[in-house]
Amino acid sequence: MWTEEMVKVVNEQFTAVAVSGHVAMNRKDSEGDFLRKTGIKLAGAGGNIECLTASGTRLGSFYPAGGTEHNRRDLQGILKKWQALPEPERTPGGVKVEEAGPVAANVKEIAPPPGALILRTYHRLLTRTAEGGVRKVVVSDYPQLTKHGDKDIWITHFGERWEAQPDFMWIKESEWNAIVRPDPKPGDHYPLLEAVADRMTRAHLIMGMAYGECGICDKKSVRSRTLSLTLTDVSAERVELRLEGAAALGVDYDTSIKEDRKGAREGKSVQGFEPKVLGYLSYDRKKNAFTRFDVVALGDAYGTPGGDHHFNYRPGRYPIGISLELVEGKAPTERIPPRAAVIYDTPNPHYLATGK
Amino acid sequence: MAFARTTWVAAALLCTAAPALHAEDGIAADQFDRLRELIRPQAGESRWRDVNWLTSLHEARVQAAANGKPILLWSGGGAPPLGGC
Repeated sequence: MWTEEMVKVVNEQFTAVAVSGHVAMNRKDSEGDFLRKTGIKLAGAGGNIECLTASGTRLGSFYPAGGTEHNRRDLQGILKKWQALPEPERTPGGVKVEEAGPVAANVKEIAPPPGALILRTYHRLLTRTAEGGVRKVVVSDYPQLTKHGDKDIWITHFGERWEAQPDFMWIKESEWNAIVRPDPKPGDHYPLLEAVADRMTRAHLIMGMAYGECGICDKKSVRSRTLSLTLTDVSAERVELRLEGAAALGVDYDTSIKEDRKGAREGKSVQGFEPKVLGYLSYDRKKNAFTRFDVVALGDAYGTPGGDHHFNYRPGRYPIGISLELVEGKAPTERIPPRAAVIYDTPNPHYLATGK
Repeated sequence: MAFARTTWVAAALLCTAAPALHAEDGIAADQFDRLRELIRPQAGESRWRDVNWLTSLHEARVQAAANGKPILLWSGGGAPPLGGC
């Protein structure tokens, strides 16, 4: 769907907006009322791409998995309908949009907490090379997919799965303020704040996100976790910190091998993930702000991925990489809630309550 | 508040492999940058990032009306598809 050509057309000929289908369809405010009146049904998982006018006339939809030619035809049909509309619908300033009105409570509640530090995260499925390094995956790394024969169909339908899966992590102001302890000295070594370590581990160092699936795992799924900070440099202006550690989530490898469904459609997914973590943080003492929060995690996953991802099963251990980095959080596209912070259209209270 | 380096470092050189990154070991400091760039989106990937997205349908209607354009509405699961969905 998102070819260079399509991106150009969308930027030049459309106004693009991305929303949560659950939130958009269920919000009890004028924006929700407008959407429901159009007759458009936005899905949750899987998503849709719909086109409409500012006044609410539906123009058609894209079938994202249809491939480039299919999407070109979708686009032509949508633009043809647009051109056939009465001129006032298409003229700049021709449609008057009413005032937005009060925003629904559940929409307000899934905004970042005031002063929150926002990290952008990426998860990527990897493969170990013969030389012992890691590389991006290719379809031949997946025996369940290659046995279906037509590799291109799978790549077309699920192509984005092989790319970096984005998400966000929120750290409350009270939490990031407590990461650097009073009177810091070089060599100080202490555990990462419990609320942050617990959230990072259970909501962000998870293998499911590499498949675009996520949530917050329960505490008993964390077999071990050590995330600690070392102060590497301290001056009147700055504190430099190194974050190191490891986690073990889910079951151990031997249990997975014994009990997992091994890619079968039916049965239990008995998984595990054992990431190692390294990060570099910089804290500006004058501005009272983190200016760097770069973290990477790399570790082995095993077992059948959950839900419909059983066809992505890979025997044995395989690596997953995760990166976290600070974003400014001013643009709306950087204020999207962490996937684990939302359940359908309401906040997940467990997300910001980690560490308790 | 905090601010970040948001540079999209050209990562085309990392499209193939990052040698000597061992998943079973801890992450060595000299592997950090290379691993980070391998994980993050690379040239030609996730081109939807290049679209000028809004996240409010109302704001999209206002802009579409002002500019005389149709709206393209992308929806995902629990969060907009620009994040995890």
